[in-house]
Amino acid sequence: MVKPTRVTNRIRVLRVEHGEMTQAELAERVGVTRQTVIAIEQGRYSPSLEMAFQIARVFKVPLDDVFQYPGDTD
Amino acid sequence: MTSCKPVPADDDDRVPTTFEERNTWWMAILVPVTTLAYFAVVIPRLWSRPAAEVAWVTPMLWAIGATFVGTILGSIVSAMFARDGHTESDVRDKQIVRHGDGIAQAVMGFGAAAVLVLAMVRADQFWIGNVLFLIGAVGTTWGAIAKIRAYRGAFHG
Repeated sequence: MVKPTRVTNRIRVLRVEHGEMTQAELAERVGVTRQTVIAIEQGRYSPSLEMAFQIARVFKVPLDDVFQYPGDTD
Repeated sequence: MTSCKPVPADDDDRVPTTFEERNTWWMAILVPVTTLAYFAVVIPRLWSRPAAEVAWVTPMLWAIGATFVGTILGSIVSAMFARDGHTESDVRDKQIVRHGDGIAQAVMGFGAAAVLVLAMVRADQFWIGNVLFLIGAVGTTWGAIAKIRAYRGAFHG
């Protein structure tokens, strides 16, 4: 059984805040399938560091505004 | 990770599986079917005569050929009826394929050892060929199931 990742993300919130961007639009801008965006949003897939930066760049925010790792600051 | 904010309308429509996942599902069905069909033909022959006299090569070639052709036809049909029109793989697809193939290769490595033992004890060609065929089918199916689990569940590379 694969352990769930502790990394959380705010992709869904950021999409809504950025003109209700759809998963398909985000996927196209990052260069992945919509299924991959869905898996990342749901925490079922951990993107590479490069893809994480690409997602942050789409939203024009720092990486840790998109992805969080609980425990360090809690 | 979750939010109470409404999701954009386009996100509510049905999400098709990726081309790679559809092909994986097809493999997970096709390989067991052709393998079971092969053994359904060959095993009854084993009841009435010694293994050395059982004709197994032609049925095996048919099973391998049917799997090969079926895989190609499955990919063509999958691409033709792709709802999203996309057939390219992304990085997640490639990682999942690598993960499944690694599992399949581990199973086949075990099978290679089993075949080696059979050769050492001078087992009949029937047993060597069929164990190799069975392990190949089990490995491929196991790998496909691992890929499906990765697609449907969590996969962290």
